[in-house]
Amino acid sequence: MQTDRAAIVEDVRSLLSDVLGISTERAADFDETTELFGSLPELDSMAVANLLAELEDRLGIVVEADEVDGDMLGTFGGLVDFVCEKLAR
Amino acid sequence: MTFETTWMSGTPIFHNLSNQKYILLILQPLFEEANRVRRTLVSMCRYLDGAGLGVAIPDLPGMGENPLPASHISLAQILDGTTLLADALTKEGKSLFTVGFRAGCLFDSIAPSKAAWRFAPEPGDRLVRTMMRTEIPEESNDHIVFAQGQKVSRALLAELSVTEMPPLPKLRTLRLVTDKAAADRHVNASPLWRHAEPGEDPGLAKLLADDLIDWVQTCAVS
Repeated sequence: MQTDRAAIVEDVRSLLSDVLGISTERAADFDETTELFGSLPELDSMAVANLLAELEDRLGIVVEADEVDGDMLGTFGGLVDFVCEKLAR
Repeated sequence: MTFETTWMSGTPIFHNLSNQKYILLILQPLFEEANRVRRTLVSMCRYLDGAGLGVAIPDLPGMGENPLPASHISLAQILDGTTLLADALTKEGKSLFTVGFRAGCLFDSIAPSKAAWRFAPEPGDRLVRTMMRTEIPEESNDHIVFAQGQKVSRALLAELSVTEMPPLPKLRTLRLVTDKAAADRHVNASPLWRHAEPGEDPGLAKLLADDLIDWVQTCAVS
């Protein structure tokens, strides 16, 4: 099971780049406080669905509807925290 | 060549079928995913055509050139239609191979097919799960789910969610490197079907076509 936060940061960065179609250079600038939902125009409801599906496929986790909220998708760091907690369970 | 089934009317896109011994029946991803990979699939088909392989790439209702909506279609109709199409394509002694992409692989266990090739196969329950995440309840009812910009039969989604992807005796599977499941080959590429906007990956189109050309040659001599 993957619990190394630094590795998860890179997994989530790569995943966001793939799903949102943003350059690897732009994704490389994401830090813990980078705002996502509501700030990235690419992250609409369809993109959120694809993001969750790809998270589940790549990391072997299951994301329930009531887990998707402002904390989880608000910032890059929040999304990484969510994945870390899921993988640690 | 024109062809009609219970779920398809009009003329599917057929390439180069009259003089070809081998025909690849391309089973596209379902729903919005099909739009995301369309250009790459068409580029792949051009490479296959250039290598002398026949290619048929039909559109299911609600997709591509098909004039019918996806709101009144059942899984049985899709499977029957696919089998009828495969039967028609093999009438003159041609050998047919199924080439499935994503959830299109759910329909590849049809009798006339000599062997199956799958790219990034997506289980039915995963497809439906993602589909339902984008449902707009105000536009849906007991029979129709409105999601990803179109109306889809709720019964079809229920059927797809429990449809198994059977292991086939003659099967080659390719996956992305980010997919840890077993495969004959893992490919380093981005998941086009997840992208926010439709795009194209010319390198992937060439890679997949080359893999298919080698695979058909291997199947033909075995």
